[in-house]
Amino acid sequence: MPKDKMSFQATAGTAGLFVVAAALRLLLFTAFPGLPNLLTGRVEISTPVTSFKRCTCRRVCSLYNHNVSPYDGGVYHQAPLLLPLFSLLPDPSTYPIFAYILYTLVDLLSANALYKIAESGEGGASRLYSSPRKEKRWSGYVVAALFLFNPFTIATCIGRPTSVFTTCAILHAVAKALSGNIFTSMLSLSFAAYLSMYPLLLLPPMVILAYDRTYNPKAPKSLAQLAGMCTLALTLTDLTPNAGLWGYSPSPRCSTASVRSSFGFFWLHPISSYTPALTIRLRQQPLAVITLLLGIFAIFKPYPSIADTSLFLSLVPCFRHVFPLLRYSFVTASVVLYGTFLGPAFYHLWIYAGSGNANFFYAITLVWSLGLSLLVSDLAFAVLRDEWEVERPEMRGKEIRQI
Amino acid sequence: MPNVQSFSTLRARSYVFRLPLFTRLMVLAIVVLWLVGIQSAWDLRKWGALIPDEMNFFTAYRMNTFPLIHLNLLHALLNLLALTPLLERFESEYGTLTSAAMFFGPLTTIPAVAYVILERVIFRVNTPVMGASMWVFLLFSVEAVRTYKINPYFVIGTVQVPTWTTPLVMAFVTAALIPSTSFLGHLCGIGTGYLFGLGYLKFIAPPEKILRWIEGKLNLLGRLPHYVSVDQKTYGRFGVLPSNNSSGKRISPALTHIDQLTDGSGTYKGSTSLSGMVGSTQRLASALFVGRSPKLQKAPPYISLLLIVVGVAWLFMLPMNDYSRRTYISENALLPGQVHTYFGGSDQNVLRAYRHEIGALENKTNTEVNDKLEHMFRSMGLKVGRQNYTYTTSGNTVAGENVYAILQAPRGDATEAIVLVAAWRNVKGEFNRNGLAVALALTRYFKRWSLWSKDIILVVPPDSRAGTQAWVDAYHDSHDSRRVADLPIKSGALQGALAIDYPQEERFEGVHIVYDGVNGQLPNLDLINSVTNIASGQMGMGSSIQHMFHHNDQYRDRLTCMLRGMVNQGLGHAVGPHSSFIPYHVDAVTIQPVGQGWHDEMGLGRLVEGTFRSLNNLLEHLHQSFFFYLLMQKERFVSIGTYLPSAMLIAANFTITAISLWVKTGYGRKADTAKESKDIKEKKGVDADAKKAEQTAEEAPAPVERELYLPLSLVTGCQFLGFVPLFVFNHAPASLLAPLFVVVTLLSLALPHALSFFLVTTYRPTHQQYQLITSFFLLLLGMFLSTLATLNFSLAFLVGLLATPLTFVRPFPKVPAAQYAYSALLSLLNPGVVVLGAAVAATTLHGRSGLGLGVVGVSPWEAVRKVLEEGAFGWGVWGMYTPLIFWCVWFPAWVVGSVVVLG
Repeated sequence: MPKDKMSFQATAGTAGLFVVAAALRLLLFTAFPGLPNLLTGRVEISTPVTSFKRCTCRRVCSLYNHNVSPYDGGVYHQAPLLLPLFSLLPDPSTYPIFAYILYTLVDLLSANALYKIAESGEGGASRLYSSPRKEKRWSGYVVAALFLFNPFTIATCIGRPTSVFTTCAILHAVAKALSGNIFTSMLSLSFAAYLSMYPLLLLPPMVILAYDRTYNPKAPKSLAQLAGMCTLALTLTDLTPNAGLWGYSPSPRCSTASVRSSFGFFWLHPISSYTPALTIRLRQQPLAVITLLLGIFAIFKPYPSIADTSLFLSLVPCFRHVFPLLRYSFVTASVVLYGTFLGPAFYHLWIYAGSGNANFFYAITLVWSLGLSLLVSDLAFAVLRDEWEVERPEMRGKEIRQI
Repeated sequence: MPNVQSFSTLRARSYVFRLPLFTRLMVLAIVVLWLVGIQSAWDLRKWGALIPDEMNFFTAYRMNTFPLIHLNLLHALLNLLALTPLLERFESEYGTLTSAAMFFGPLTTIPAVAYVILERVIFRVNTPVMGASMWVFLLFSVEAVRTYKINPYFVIGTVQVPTWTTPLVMAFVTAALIPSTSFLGHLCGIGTGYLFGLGYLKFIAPPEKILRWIEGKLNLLGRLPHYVSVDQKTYGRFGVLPSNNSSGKRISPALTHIDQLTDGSGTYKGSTSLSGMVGSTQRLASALFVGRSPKLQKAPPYISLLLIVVGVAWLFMLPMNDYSRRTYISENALLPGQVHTYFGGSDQNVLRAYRHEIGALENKTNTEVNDKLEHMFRSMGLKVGRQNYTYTTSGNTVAGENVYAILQAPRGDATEAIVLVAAWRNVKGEFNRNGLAVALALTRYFKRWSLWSKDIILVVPPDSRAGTQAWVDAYHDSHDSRRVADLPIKSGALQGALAIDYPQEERFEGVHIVYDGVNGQLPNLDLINSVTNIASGQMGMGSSIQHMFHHNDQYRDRLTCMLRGMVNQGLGHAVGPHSSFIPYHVDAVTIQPVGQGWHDEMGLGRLVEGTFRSLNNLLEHLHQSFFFYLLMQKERFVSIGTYLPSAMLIAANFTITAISLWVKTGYGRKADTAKESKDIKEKKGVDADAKKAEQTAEEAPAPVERELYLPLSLVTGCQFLGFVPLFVFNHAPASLLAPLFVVVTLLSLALPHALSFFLVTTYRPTHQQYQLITSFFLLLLGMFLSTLATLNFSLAFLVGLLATPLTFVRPFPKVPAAQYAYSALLSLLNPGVVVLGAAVAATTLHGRSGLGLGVVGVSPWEAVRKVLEEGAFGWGVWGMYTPLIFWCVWFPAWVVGSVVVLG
């Protein structure tokens, strides 16, 4: 009963926010008709695996409608279920408004999930750990607003990559895990993993999160419950091998595509090594693990885009209480800002003006990744420092030094 | 062992300060001798190096001087880095006197003599050596022998390697990696070092008794700073027994570190008592350059000022001979001026006929003209296309129809093309009668030749501003099909374009080359060089740039020429029909015949023919030469590497102030806060804030939490505010532009006062919040400008220069006079005021400005309208982003800066 009440309040309190955010997006869509196509073409927003154009281009759709594998020809690299979705939509070149509304709705759904995550207070106080600073936190309203009005999120929404569906699914998985709704959570996570492989790596912290939230000290059923959750998730994600990036890799007809997928596979390896390490070290704070992992994905996943960054940045405000412990906030902000502006400028010099070369853009992607990794490591430091001060109260406020 | 993690600047500093006397003297000697070696009057190196063949009794001093003399800075620096720690160990072990005796005596002469004997007697060669590396290897082998006694082997896999071999390995590695090192010299040093380390050379050390006596008599310990006494020396550096060595070593860094922290001055205490709870500590930034010492905290404004001064001075240095370069043809395939041009003879009659026909068309409508031109093209046997376009900016409609013809290359496959543009009217609106006639005659002439490997496209737009833009946009399929029609026929990728602008009737003296593109992009320098080369070298006609028709190639003219180029580049508008090509990476220039001379149309035709022959030679797109350059004479330029620092320095000055302000806001300021609180007290309103401020002022400069919401929202809000005037001026009708601009300027002058009043009455921003506001807007400004500097150097430089006073904005609550003075200065530099002033100034220029705005001699009111119209036209048609920079970079920064001053 109280849960229902809370969610009701959520919708009532955030209705205004959502309306404004939706209005802003639709305004941008309609007032600047060239903008969506411009942003769709930007490499920072849509990658070969998330591009809206490749999803809706006539060639892929006609392949699909004529019962030919859409993966033929190396244009389409995305999950198969997206195709029926987009072929259900009216042709985006003539009736773009339907796609606009769809993407706006997905953003609002993500914001709603984020609202629930922030309101749960999991960032500051989990089952096993309660931060001494947990009083200092932002309400769900602020967190959702930060997500909805983040320029990266807006640019992503207007560029319409398919990664917004992944974002939405991940946020819902977290929100459902927090409300103890294991089945829905795992379903969402499987959907995210189905759309793009890497959210599968979020499974361990997600399971721990759900376990912590449904933990009942009177009826301990720990191992069995954990095992059950894992099987549930794995049997659902079992769908993936015949889908998405992996579905077409055995096909000998798409040699370039298979090269790409194996490339992606080898890139997935270093990322996956972070999952167990972080999960074990930050066992007490599973939401922090998920956030840090999302940050690591945004840096290291193959074909990263600003959609991944905006997902990571959307969860960071849940850790408002450790913000004073961040050491490089100014440096991080400056580096990310510089990357945001210099990236397109150097891309322009390289591709359009012809007066720069690929190294310009490559260098700036390194700077961008540096900024993000600073934020990830700084956040990890702050979370650990917060834990450490609980263990060693006498060290509160003292400067520490890495030896 | 020291490693990267344990490195700290504090310890490094204290290490340097504790270096003993002899080491210091040697370092000093090396540095001084290097400095002496810079001059060229006296060859120090020849005097002091160890040259085996020149060794005799009178040149024996060389055996002592050679280690102190180095080849160059790098040599000296590397040797110093290697030598200092080793020598410091030696000295603190043996004492200063002993070290001096040993290093001016046997430890230098023995290897030197050995080297000379080996060179002269055995190898019979004569390789001079110099530098302290022999000492380095000597000391290194002494250490290696000592290590060998404690720790005889290190294990690689299963192989045990004796540790005494390390200097030998190092010598091999050095010989392999670094060119022109003396392997033999190093070996001599190593050999002596082994002998000394094993104790065979103990006998040469001066007796301790004598040393003690000297030391006692002269009271050296009392007189000399950093002197290491003979008595202080110990056997082994860290204790008597070798077994204590490792543990002693391990503890020592920690101990020294603690020492420094406790005996350091009060400034260090601040760093130890840093509260991690509030305020992010920003160790990175502070360690980089600010620190917490009050002296350093005051430095950033001076650094900023220095950067500005250096940045501006840099620009004024560029026209000098030493900083600019002569132009050269970089792409060999161009071969400008190497072919004979045949345009002439009977073609002159053809040209005269065309001129006559075109003259008859002068007052016809666009469609009638194009019908006639199409007929002419078809009669030459060319393919013809026509294209409509309609642009609407500032309430005016610019419409027209382009006509163009494609000459298919006899030897090409239609994958590449060169464009010849002859607009019906030039940018000033004059009838381009001769230019068109030349273009038609040339096309007819080109048709006869079989050597073209690229298609030639002749484009005749009705005007020089919108027509070419529409054509190029449509050629690259990036046009808005509601305004610009598709092209019916196309050819291959455009390799280059040449526009002819020849409205005058008389013969001409030389050609004026116009090269600025939209948004300050420039064509490849090779193209300009080719045209200059053919015009001056082959045709014997003068050529000029930037309306500098009489250029004497002295500093003043070069500077004027460069500044004109920068203003044109900064404005970013199209100055000729060629400008629209450049954003598509099609190198293009406009050729304008100027002056009264003896060259006729045929000469111009031959110039175009020669240039086309050069472009025809190209195997790939022009890429060899520079895309970023400033020309200061037709044959002198500076490239981006030389001029970019000046804009970057100006952009960096904003960033440095921003970072320093951010760091400052993290700590309460003892002195300032106290003063301020007194001031507040003197005023009537002694409120809770002041008391709190006073309380914090009593304590040590403790970290404080930053209040970010107000600064962030103010800066973001002002940033978005800039879009309002941008929108207004790009959509207002032409008649309203000038009045609107005056209104907006007046409003923007009043805006900071209103905002400041609003802030002070509603939020009462603290000093810290004002600092944060300044920090944020300066950070944004620095970022925008450094990004812009890579795209359009001149615009970034000009905006940066006009915005420099914003670096020094601070709230001046104490001195109202300063506040009003600064605010008045900023008002003068208000973007609107600057544009009004510039427009008025431009009306009085004597036709030499080269800005092409056509504002010379009109009323100021009209001038403002024209400038704004050009801005709106550029934004809508050319995709010129100058208005965006103006309203969304400069304007917001100015508003926020003025608010801070008034705060």
